[in-house]
Amino acid sequence: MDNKDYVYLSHINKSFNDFKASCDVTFGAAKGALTALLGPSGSGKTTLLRMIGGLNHPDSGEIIIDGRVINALPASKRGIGFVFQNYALFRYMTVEQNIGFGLEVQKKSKEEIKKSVKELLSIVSLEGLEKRYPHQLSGGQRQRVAFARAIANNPDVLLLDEPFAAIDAKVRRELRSWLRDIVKQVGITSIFVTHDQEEAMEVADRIVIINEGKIEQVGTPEEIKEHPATDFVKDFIYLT
Amino acid sequence: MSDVRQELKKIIKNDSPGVIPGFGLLLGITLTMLTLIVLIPLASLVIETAQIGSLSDFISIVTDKYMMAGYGVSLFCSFIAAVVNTVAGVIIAWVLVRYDFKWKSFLNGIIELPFAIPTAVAGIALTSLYCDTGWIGSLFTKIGIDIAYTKTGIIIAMIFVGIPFVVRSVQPVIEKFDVEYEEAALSLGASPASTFFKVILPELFPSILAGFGLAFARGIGEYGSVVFIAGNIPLKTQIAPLLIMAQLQQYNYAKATAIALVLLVISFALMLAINGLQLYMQRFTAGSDNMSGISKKIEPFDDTGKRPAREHTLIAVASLFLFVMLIIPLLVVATYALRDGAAAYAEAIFDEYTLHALKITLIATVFAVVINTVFGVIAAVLLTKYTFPGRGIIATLIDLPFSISPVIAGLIFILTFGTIGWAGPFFERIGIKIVFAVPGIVLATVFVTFPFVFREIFPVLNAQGRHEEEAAALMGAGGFTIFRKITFPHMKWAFAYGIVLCAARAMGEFGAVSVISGHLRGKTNTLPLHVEILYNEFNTSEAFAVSSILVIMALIILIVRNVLEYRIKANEQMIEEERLAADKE
Ligand SMILES: Nc1ncnc2c1ncn2[C@@H]1O[C@H](COP(=O)(O)OP(=O)(O)O)[C@@H](O)[C@H]1O
Ligand SMILES: [Mg+2]
Repeated sequence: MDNKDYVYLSHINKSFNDFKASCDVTFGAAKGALTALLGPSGSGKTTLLRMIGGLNHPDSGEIIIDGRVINALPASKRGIGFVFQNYALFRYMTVEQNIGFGLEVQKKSKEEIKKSVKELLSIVSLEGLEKRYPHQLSGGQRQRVAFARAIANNPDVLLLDEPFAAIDAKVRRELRSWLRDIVKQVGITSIFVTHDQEEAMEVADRIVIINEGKIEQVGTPEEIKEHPATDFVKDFIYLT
Repeated sequence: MSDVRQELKKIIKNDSPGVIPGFGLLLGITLTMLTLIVLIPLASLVIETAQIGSLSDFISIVTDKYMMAGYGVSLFCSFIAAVVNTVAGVIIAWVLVRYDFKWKSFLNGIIELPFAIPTAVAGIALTSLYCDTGWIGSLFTKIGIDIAYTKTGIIIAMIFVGIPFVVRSVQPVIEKFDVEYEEAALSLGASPASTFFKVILPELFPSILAGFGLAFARGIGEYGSVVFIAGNIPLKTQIAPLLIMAQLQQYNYAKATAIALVLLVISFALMLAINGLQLYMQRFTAGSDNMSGISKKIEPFDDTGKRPAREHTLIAVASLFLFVMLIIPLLVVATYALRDGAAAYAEAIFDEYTLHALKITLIATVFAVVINTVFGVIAAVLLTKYTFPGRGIIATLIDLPFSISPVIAGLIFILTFGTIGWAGPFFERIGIKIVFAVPGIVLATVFVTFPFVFREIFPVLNAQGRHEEEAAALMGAGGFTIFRKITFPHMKWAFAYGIVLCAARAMGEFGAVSVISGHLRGKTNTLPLHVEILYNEFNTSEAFAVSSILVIMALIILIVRNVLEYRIKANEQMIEEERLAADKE
């Protein structure tokens, strides 16, 4: 384990019935950096992310954040922000209510919530849309609401599942650099899942390549491009 | 109701009825049956009201203080009962979907008991249970609370008949509910309770509202299960349908009709309001398809594998509610039926009048099932396989008998075919007696069960689309061949399911039949009516013995229902898997 690793997964195993979704997975994510979990669909990326977030539970192995084993901590107490693949915005709440939800359930005062929501809206450049409902927003706007909602409680770690998958190709490129800039600006340790190697190369500081529940290679985009560790990585990077 | 209309909107829009043969014939049959069985009798209600003469007469009839008290009792009690059923129904639906426990499929299987048990049987069972000498009533009498013959008793009877509505409308929504919403709330630090009230409840709201509306409407119109326990004290525990009945017994048709019209308007207004609210709620879900369809389970956060205390509490609440409301009344029937020994039980059952009543019940049930099955299939095929204007109106009209009080259903046939009815003299001249005779009983039974088969088949055929039929038609297949070889195999389980529901309701119908039968023992009595007579003559054991026949029939129906539901679900799952497999290719 590297001293800089803020999030660390140690020998994680997870099965659904007979199906092995994670197989002795060990990797770390550095503080303040963007780490990508890259792999084909069905390789077990989401399952790993959900285990970090406390939504699934490993059969064995440890999940460590800031030097503390957090396996037994419920999702609601982990202080981790989660952006779901389909955003899971609350349909019956306005943008404002969605973003303020985390603060509200933490029993923050009305003024405090209002102030934070205002700040967050300007961070994600959605000023003026606070009274809209999710169905009145475009895909890109929804994603930004989901992002703002996830960071509202000042989490130490942000998890994003396929953050650009539901967005059309034109806007996607723009959003990638937006996400990278904003994560750096907020300085939050972030792990995101993607099946698109180009996206991982462009956005991440470090890439974890996963296939059939096992890690194939961990490294910076350059390392992986120049020295693919396995045939699978070579094919995946150059053929897709 | 609303769901049928929305499904219709989903059907592909075409200009012509389409290429499948048989359109004219099906349309003709559907419209004819709809007109004869539903529209003409309902029109009699308006014709009769028109004969009251002046509007002020009408108003003075319907605003009489007894009438006002009657509407008040009906609305108040059914509202409270619907609220209780809503709270209990959401808990039950939640427990049935989310938690696993040993007797879960048993609980799930008995939810429809109130649909299968004839209302008159429920009525006498609840009265015996809650009266001051009854198992539960005596406990409350000790602490000075009377239940039977008070509004509390009426509310309990209305709760009984309304149990399935909220459970069955909320349950499928929870099944399809995307757990990501809950997970999002949890990851934002929300407790399970605030997750439920702030995130889950709003998602369930439209279906809760639909169930509430159906339970409320059912309570307002309910007659059979309520009359016994109500005690019918004027101005205190007289429900509105009973006022109609009382006017009829004095041959005051104009007054009965006026009250019926008001009651009808109230229930239609209620259904319209609820449909409107649902449409309003739907704008939030427009465009976003967040229902994943795959039901995942929230994993408990620690590995101890222990069930949190709140799960135990909710399971206990749901089980206790269903045990007290559904199982105990059944035990009452069994105990009271056998109270005087097996010999007396056999004697009551093999009594000449009982057997005759059984015969009439079977006749009415067979007619209702046959007629409504033929109609249901034809109408469902017509509305799903062809495109033409006015389909939404037809679907709404078919559903109409659902929201009409059984007493009113009986009344409209008296107004049509009785001596005062406009068609009465004609049938009298040709020597056919309808009112106070078996044909009237059959007609009323057909009317109240009119939508049952249709409602089950329609969604299945709609989901299937019409491409297969169109392909067959283009290959030259005739209308009947297409139906037999292509359409029917898709709907066969829903078809059987509809027949079962229709039979259950037909066999237990009380209010409508009570109005039109004339209560001639050995001539026009059905089993539920026979139960009423025996009970009112204080032949309690005999009444329960006869009831037990109906209960056994209801239990058989329930078992068949559960088997069919299982088959339907298996079938749906197979179709879904095939679709997914096809998508992948
Ligand atoms: N709750 C679950 N129950 C059963 N199988 C699951 C569950 N969640 C995921 N899986 C299975 O685990 C495998 C990996 O899933 P996932 O982590 O979602 O992959 P990815 O995100 O890489 O596409 C898939 O085959 C999926 O079907
Ligand atoms: Mg995934």
